[in-house]
Amino acid sequence: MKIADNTITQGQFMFFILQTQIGVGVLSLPHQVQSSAKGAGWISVIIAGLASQLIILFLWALNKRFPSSTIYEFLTQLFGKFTGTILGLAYVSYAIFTSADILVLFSDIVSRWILPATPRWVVILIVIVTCMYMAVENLRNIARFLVATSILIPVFLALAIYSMMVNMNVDYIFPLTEAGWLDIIKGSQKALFSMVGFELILLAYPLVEGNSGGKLKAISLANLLVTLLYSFLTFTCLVIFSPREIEVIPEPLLYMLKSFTFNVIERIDLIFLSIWSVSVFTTFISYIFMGMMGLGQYFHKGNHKKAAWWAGIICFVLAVWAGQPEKIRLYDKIFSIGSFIMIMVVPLLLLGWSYLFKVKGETST
Amino acid sequence: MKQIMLFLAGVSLLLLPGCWDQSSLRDARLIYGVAFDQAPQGKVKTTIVIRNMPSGDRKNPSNEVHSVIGNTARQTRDLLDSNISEKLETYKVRALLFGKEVAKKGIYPHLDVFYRDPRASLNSRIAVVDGEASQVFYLRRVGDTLIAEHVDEVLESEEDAGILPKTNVQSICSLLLEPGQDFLIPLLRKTESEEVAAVGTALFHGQKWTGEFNRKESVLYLMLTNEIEKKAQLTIKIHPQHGENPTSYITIDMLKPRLKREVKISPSGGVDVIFSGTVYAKVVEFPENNLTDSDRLEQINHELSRALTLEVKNMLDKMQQANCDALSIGRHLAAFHPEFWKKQDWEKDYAKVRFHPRIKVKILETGITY
Amino acid sequence: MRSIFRGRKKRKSEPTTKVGDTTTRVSSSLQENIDNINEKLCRSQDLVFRSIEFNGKKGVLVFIEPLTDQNQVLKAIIQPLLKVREGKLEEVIIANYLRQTESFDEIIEHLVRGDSILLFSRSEQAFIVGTEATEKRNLTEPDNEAVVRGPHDGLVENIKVNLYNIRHRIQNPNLTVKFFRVGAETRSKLAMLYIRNLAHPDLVKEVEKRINAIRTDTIMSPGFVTEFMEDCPASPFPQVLYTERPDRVVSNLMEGRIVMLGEGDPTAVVVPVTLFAFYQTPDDYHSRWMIGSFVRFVRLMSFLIAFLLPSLYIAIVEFHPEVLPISLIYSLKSSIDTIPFPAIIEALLMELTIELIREAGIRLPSRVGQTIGIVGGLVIGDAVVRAGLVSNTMLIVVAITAISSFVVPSHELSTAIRVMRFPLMVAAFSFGFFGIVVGLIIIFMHLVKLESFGTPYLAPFAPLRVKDLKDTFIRLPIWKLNQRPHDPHPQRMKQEEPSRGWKKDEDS
Repeated sequence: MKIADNTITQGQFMFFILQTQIGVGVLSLPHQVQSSAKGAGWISVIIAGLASQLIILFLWALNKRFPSSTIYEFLTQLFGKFTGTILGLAYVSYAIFTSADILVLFSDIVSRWILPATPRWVVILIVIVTCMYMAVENLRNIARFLVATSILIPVFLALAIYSMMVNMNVDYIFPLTEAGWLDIIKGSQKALFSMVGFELILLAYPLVEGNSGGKLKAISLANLLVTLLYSFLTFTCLVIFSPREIEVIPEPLLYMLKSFTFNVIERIDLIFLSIWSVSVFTTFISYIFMGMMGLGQYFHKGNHKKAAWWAGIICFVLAVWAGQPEKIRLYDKIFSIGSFIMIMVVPLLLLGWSYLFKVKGETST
Repeated sequence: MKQIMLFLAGVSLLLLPGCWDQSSLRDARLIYGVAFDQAPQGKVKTTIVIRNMPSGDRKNPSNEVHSVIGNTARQTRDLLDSNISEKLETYKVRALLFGKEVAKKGIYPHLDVFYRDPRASLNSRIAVVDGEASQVFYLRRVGDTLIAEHVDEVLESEEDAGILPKTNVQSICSLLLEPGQDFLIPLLRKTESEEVAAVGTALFHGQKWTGEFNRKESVLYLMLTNEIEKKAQLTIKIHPQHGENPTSYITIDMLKPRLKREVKISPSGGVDVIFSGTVYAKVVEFPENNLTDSDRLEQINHELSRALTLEVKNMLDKMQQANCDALSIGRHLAAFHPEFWKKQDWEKDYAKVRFHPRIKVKILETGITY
Repeated sequence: MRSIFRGRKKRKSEPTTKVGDTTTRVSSSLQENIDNINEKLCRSQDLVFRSIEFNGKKGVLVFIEPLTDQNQVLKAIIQPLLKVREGKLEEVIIANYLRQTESFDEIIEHLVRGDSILLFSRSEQAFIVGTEATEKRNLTEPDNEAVVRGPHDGLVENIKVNLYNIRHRIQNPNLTVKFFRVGAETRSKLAMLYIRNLAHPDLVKEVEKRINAIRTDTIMSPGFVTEFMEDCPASPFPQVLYTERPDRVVSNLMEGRIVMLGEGDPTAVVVPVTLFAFYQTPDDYHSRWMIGSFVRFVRLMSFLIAFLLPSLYIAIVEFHPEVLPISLIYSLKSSIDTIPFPAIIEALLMELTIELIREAGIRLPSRVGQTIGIVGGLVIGDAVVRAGLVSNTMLIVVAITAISSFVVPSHELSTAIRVMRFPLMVAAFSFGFFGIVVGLIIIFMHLVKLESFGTPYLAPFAPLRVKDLKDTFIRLPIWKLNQRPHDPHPQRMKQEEPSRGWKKDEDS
C-alpha cells in the first residue's frame, strides 16, 4: 500500500474522529448521566468533554514523538518486537471488543424499538457485512464516507431543537447541584465512555497531512463539537422529562421524539433511529478498521483487507454471545475498564517510557 | 473474490424470507378509541372502538364497539384480539377515556402498557368521563360523526379555543410520576340528548381524581399557566346589581394572556404565590352597550379586573380543596428552594399555600362598534 | 470486486496477426502486386483495377468502389493523368493526400479506408491518394438530449464532421486530437481530444494507456471502448458520460476532461465524470440561474424519489404504518384492504409492467408506440385496480417513481436507478426502515468507493469541496463560477476573471 494514497486532510480527520465519537452511546447518555448527576447531567457531559480533551493532549503528545508511525509501529519501536507485538495485540483486541460491544448495544436497541422479532444475530450480521464493505478500503475512502455521512448530524440537532421548543420545563434541571459535585463527576465518568473514539488518533495520526499543531486543532475541534452536541442533547432531555420519568426511560432521546407529530409524518423516533444507525455504522467501521489494521500489520504483512474475515467472525461471535441483559452489563463493564486502561493508563505509561528512555521516531518527511 | 462472497452473503441474507417483524397495515384492525371502566371485584372493563373503512365504493366508514372485562389493560386487549378478526393495533388510538370510578382509583395502571409498548401511540388525547366511559362509545354516532372521531374533535376544538388543556398520554407522564406536580384532564359528560359535551376538567392529585372544574374555571386555570395560545373567551358578570339579566354580563376575548408568577417564602414559613400582570382583552359582547368614552372604559376595566381576580381566587380555592397542585408550586419549591422543600409535607402543606391573584384587565379592542 | 475482473484482463498477450505478414514490401512486378492485393482482399468483387499509363509506364489504379468518392477519383487522378501523361506524379495529381510508400501493409490499410492506390510496373513505390468518400447525415439534434434553448446540432457518425463541429467551437491551438486504431480486425478509428494546457498530463497518460491496452478483434462503438476502460465494471452506475451534443463536449473539454470519439458512432465519451454530471443538462445554463438551480434541484429530488419511494411505501405498509397520520392511514388502509398480495408483489408487478411498456414503446415504431402507451398506461392501470390486484396508492407510487426516473438526463443513469431500486424494495420488505437504511448505506459506500479515471465519483460531495458545490446541487450565476471544477484536476483552475467590473464603476 502506498502511503501517499492513504493520507487524509485535517478536515477529513476532524470528521473521522467526530463520527467515531458519535455513536451508540448517544441515545442512552441522558439517562445514564441523569442517574448519578440528576439535573446537572449536562454539566457532567461538559466535564467529560474537558477530560477527554486532556486525554487527547496526552495521546497527541505521544503521537508527536512518533510522527510517522501508527500505534502498531511505534509499540515495536518502543519495546522491541515481542513486547511491542503483545501490546499491539492488546490494542487490536480492545478495538475488536469495542466493535463487538457497539454491535451488542445497537442490536439491543434495534430489537427493543423496531425489530422485536428479528433474531439479533441477523441484525448483527447485517451490520458486520455492510461495514466490512467499507472497512476493507483504505483510510482515505473511509474518511470520505464519514465526511459525507456527517450531513446527518444537523438533522439530529434540528429534531432535538424542535422537540425542545415544543414542550420544555426548565424547572426540571433545578436544583442544579442536587446530586452534589461528586456525583456529577461520577456522571461525567459515564459520559466519557460514550465520548471515546478519539483514540483513533493513535492509528490515524501519521496518515494525516499537515503539521502536528493542525492535527491537534482538528481533533480538539471534533471533541468540542461532540461535547457541545452531547451536552445539548442531554440538556434537551433533562428539560423535557421530569427526573422521575427519565429514570425509567433508558433511551430518552428516542422516547422524546416518539410523541411528536408533524402533519405528514408521525413517530419521528423511527426516522431518528434510522439516521442514528448510520452514526453507529460509522463508529463500527472506525473501530473494526483499527482492529483490522493491527491484524494486518502483525499477520498479513500490512494488508488489512486479509484480516476482514476473521475480524468479522470474532466480532460476530462476541456480539451474538452477549444476548442477555446481564451479559450486556458485563460487556459494558469490560469496555469501561478496558478503555480506561487502553486509552488513559497505557498511553500515559508509553509517554513516560518514551521520555525516560528517549525513544523517538524519525521525523516524517 | 472475498468481496463478491460478502456481497452474495448480504444479498442472500436480504432474500431470506425473514420478515420476522412484519405487521402489515392490510391485516390490522386499528383501534380508534379506548375506554377504561371499573368492573366488579377490582377488574377492569375495556371498551374499544374500531373504525372500519369499507373499500372500493365510497361507502361511509363505520364503527365497531367491543367491551370485555379482565384483570389488566393488556389482558383485556388480548381477550379482545381473540374475539376479533385480524390483528388489533393500538398505534392510532386517538382518544383514551377513563370512567369516573377508575379515575378515582388511579389511572397509571391502565396507562402503563401505553408507555411500555414501542408501537403504542403517545399522542392520543386523554379525557375523563363523568359516569361510565363505555357509555360514551356506545353512542356509536353523534349526528353524522362517528363517536371516537367526535370525541377527538370535541377535545381538539376545545383545546384550540383555550378552554381545555392540551393533554395526551405523554404530556401527563412527567406529571404523573413527579411529586409536587399535578395535572388536569378534560372532563366529558354524556348529555340527556345523547350527545357528548366537554363540561370542564377533572382535577387530579397523584394519579387520582380529586375534583372538577367547570369550563370557565379551566379557562382561568389555563390563563394562570400561560397556556392560552391565541385567545380564550370569558363571560363575566360585572354588574351584579342588574340581577339575572343579559345586561349584567360582558364577554371578552383574552388576547394571549401572559401572567407573571412569583413564589415567595415568608419568614414564618408560609408560601405566598403571587400572580400579577395585565390581561389584554377585546370586547366581543356587551349588551349594556356603553363604551364610548374613555372614563367609562376605565371603569369597566376596573370592574372587570375586580371580577376576574375574584373568580381566579375562587378557582384557586377549589384547586386547593382538591389538593391538586396543577400549578407545579411544589416542583418549583423543590427546584429553587430545596432546603425548604425537604421540610414540607406537601400533602398537607399545599392547602396552606396562599395565592394572591393580582390581575388587571385592559380592553384594547371593542369590535367594529364602540 | 475488481479482483476477479482483473483476472480476465490478464490473459496472455498473443501476437496480433497483422494483415500482410508474408509480403511486407511492394513488389516490382505489377501483376504480382495485383495478385497480392486480390489475395489480401479475398478477391472481393467490389475491388476496381483500372489500367493507366504515365511517363510511358504501365500502371494500375486500385480502389474499393463503394468506399471511394468516384468524383474525386475521376477529377484528382484519372483526368490529370490522361491530360498530362508525363512529369512528376506529385505535381500532376490534385489531391489533399498523396503519399509514396513501399510498404504493402500500408497499401492494404489505405485501400480498406477508401483511398486509391497507384501502382506502376517495375516500380517498388506505390502512391496512395486520398479519395475517401464521406457519407454523412445532417447535423440534427440528438433525440435523447434535446434542449429547449441552445444549439440544435448534434454529433454524427462521421468523425471528421464531429471534429469540425468541435474545432469550430473551440478555436484554440491547444485543442489536441490523437487518433488511435483499436480492434485488431475492424481497425476502428478512435479520436481522443483534450485541451493541452488544461487536461492533467497524468490523466491524458492514463487514458492513453488504457486505450493502448485494448486488444480485441472488434470495436463496434464507444460502448465497447468504455467497457474495456472503466474502473469498476461490476457497478451498475455509469462511469463515463455519453453525449451526442457538441456543446456539451466542448464544455467538458474546457473543464479539463478528455473526450473520445469513435468513427461510425455519434456518441462522444467523456472522462472522468462524477455522479452529478449526469444530472446536468445544457438547459441549466441557458436559462436564468435561479430557474436553472430550481430545475436542477427538482431533478436531484427526482433521484431520491425514483430510488426510495417504492421501498419507503413498502416499509410503511408492511412494517411501520404508525408513521402515517390518522387521516392518511385510513384512506390507505381502505385502498389496500382487499388486495390479495403483499406490497412487494404488488410493487414488483407494477414496476415490471412499466418496464415492459417502456421497452415495448422503444422497440416499436413511434406510431404504434403511442398505442402501447395508451394500452399500458390507461387500460392496464385502470383494469388492474378494478380487478383488485393492485391498490390505487401503489399505482400512484409506481407512476411517480417511473416519471422521476425518466427525469434523469442520462439514459444510463436512469437505467441504473431503476435497477437499483429492486434490491432496496426487497430490503424494505425484509427489515422495514432498517433495511432501507442498510441498503442506502451500501449503495452510498459503493458510490464513495467508486472512481472514474482517478476521480472520486461523488466529488465534490465526497470528498467534500465546498467551492465546487456552487455548480452541483444548484447552479450559481456564471460569473460566480470563476473556478473550474476540481475533480478532473485541471492544470489551470481559474476560468473567469471578474467580468462584471462595470457594475462597481456604475455604482460608485
